[in-house]
Amino acid sequence: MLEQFLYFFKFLFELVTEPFNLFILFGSSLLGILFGSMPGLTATLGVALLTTLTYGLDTSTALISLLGLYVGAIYGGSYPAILINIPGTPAAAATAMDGYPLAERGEGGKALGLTTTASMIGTVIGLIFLVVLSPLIAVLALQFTSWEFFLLALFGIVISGTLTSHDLVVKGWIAGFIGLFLATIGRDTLQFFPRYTFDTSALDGGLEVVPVLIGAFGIPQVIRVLSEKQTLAKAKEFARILPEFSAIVRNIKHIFRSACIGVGIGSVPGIGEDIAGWVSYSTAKNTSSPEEQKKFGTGSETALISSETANNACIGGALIPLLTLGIPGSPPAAMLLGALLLNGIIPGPTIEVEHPNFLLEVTAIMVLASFAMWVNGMVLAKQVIKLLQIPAPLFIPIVAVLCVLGSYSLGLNFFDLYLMIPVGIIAFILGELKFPISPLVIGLVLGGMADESLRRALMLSEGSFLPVLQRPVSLILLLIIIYCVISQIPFLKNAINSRLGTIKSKIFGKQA
Amino acid sequence: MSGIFLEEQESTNKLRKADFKAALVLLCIAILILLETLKFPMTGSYGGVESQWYVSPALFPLILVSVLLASSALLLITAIKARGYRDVFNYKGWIGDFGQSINRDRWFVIIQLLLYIYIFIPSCDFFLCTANFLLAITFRFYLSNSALMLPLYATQTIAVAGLFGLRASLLDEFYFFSMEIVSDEKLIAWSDSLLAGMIAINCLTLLLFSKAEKIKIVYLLATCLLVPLILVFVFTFLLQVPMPVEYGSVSLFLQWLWYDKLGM
Repeated sequence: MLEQFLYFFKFLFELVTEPFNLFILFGSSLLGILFGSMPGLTATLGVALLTTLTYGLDTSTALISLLGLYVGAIYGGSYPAILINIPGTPAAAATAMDGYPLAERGEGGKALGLTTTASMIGTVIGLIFLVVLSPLIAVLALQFTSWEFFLLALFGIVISGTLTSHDLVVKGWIAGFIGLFLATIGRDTLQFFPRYTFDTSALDGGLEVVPVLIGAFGIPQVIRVLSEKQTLAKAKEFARILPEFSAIVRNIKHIFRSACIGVGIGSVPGIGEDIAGWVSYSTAKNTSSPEEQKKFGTGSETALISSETANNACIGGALIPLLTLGIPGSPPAAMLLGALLLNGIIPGPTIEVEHPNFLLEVTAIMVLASFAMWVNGMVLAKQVIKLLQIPAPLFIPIVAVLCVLGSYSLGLNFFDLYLMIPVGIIAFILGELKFPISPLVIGLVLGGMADESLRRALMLSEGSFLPVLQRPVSLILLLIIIYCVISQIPFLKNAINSRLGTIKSKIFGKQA
Repeated sequence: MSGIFLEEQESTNKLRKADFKAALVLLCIAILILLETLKFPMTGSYGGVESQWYVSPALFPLILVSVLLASSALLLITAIKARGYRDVFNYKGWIGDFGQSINRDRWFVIIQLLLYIYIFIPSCDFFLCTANFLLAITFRFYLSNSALMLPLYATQTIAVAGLFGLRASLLDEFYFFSMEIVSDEKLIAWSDSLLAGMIAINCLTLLLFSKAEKIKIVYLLATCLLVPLILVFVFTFLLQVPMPVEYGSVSLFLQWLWYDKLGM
């Protein structure tokens, strides 16, 4: 334990004493804040674009930039949410509810100070959970067989499809299964058989995750923002930003509860910061005093702190399944998985064996990233807000160009570029039809694992599905998946409800 | 209250109509995938491995396609229950109503992206393609001046037709679409000249006929001409990422300036 503690501080010291690392850290954190604060740009797109630029750097430096941007982008969404009532990222939607009324009252500086400090505390609490829980989950995961990994992938798709769908849940599942299908394109890993390649050599290696992600998250935003002619209101004026420690201390119980909610939601595959923000917001409202409840929606500091703590704590939560099981907890974490694989790191239960102390290194980088976010937030907020005034028709086309360069520069081939556009257009159409995109991305990332795990498991059991029922973890996962599916199919749900009703009336009928 | 309810009801009706079409498309795609998957080996020997059904490369795709078929059928049933089959033969339900500016704008952005990526980037210098793309987008969305759009459409059409014409006259074998990076320097030089000419015409049209404030024009030109130059410089010289068409005129000029003149 002491050895790990010492290693953590040694690594932290090494990072801090390297000027290049600090430059990258503060630069990427600022870039993240910019990405988060520009409506239309998201943390996932930022991480995807930066992955292509950091490909040549060593792993630590690449991680510093990616995690710095991730933390900054989740926090940056609160700027426009507070100052112009438009959340920069979906994660900041709950923040706008109470941040904007505060800004309207001339307390924008206070609101930004609260969100900056709450975001930092949220990130750090998320990290504590990451450090404590990850080794335990990794030890547990070492007992997992191929069945568990197959079912975990399936669970990820079903749960993210269920929770991210704004319309019919079946749409979320369809998006997830399309993602899984896209992952089967290319030569299969067991027999090297070409699947859906249509004799095109460029498809032999399968679809690259980065261009698909850039297309899925970047191109729809370009089309949407330009065609909907989104114009931003003038940002509200605000005074100096202070850390607001006294308000933080007053809301300490909300902070801890929100952080726990953030970590919990972040660790569920496929769902991320936006849901954490809303769940935490409503929990804070339900647990507040009646006087405080009345303030919700009119500029409550408790509401603001709760939503911002939760969405940043989600980052640590999302990294738990990513690093221990290789399953991303949120769309930006899916992109981080792609970046780690590009740098030769395969997240999963054996990560600590293959890359000793990797978890501590990630934690040290995240601590620095949250500190950089806090400093940037305190010092540079006014400058960042000025950039918000750049008209969307000027900066969004540049984002499109960056998407093009990002897709091309990773593999230096036209195929990735040609792939990005149809993926982007299809993602746009799916988005317009209210199909969520996150399950598609999670499906693409998990598809390979699901396919390989299922066939390996069947190979070991010689075609028998019985081991699923004999192993506790796989049985639990299977039951959850079945419950999620059945609870969303109307005729099955009705049949079960009526059956349960009959049983209940048989048991309790006479008593009634 | 009833107004909000009616609005929500209308939005749901619209969604169910769209769901009906989406489900039909998904079912067709799933059937095509199923037909392709059935060609994969289920048993027998492939690549020296004696195969059983449970290690077949078709197993996972078959499970997926079955689930996709079931999910699409469920979506279709839900849409039918909400009478989403109405207007299925109305083309506006498929490609959008062109009477609405939002749909015209969507198609404009999509067409510009397609032209940029599939026609211009594989043929010309990256700076020129990007400047051309940015001019087209900003003319429509930043200036919103319809007087500038006609010359823009004309130059775009001439550029596309000209590029195909150059390919037909300068190459042994004509192609519309290629996965290969163009390396014919003569073709690139002619293509670059053509595109540079069209960009110059658009910039002149902007300066002569735009009624926008001067500062707006300066911002637009800085975005369209300066930003791509910075991006090309950063990617080529700082990140060492070669541009898609390496022998592009501007790329060659920058390389000459950076390596030969400045000795970097």
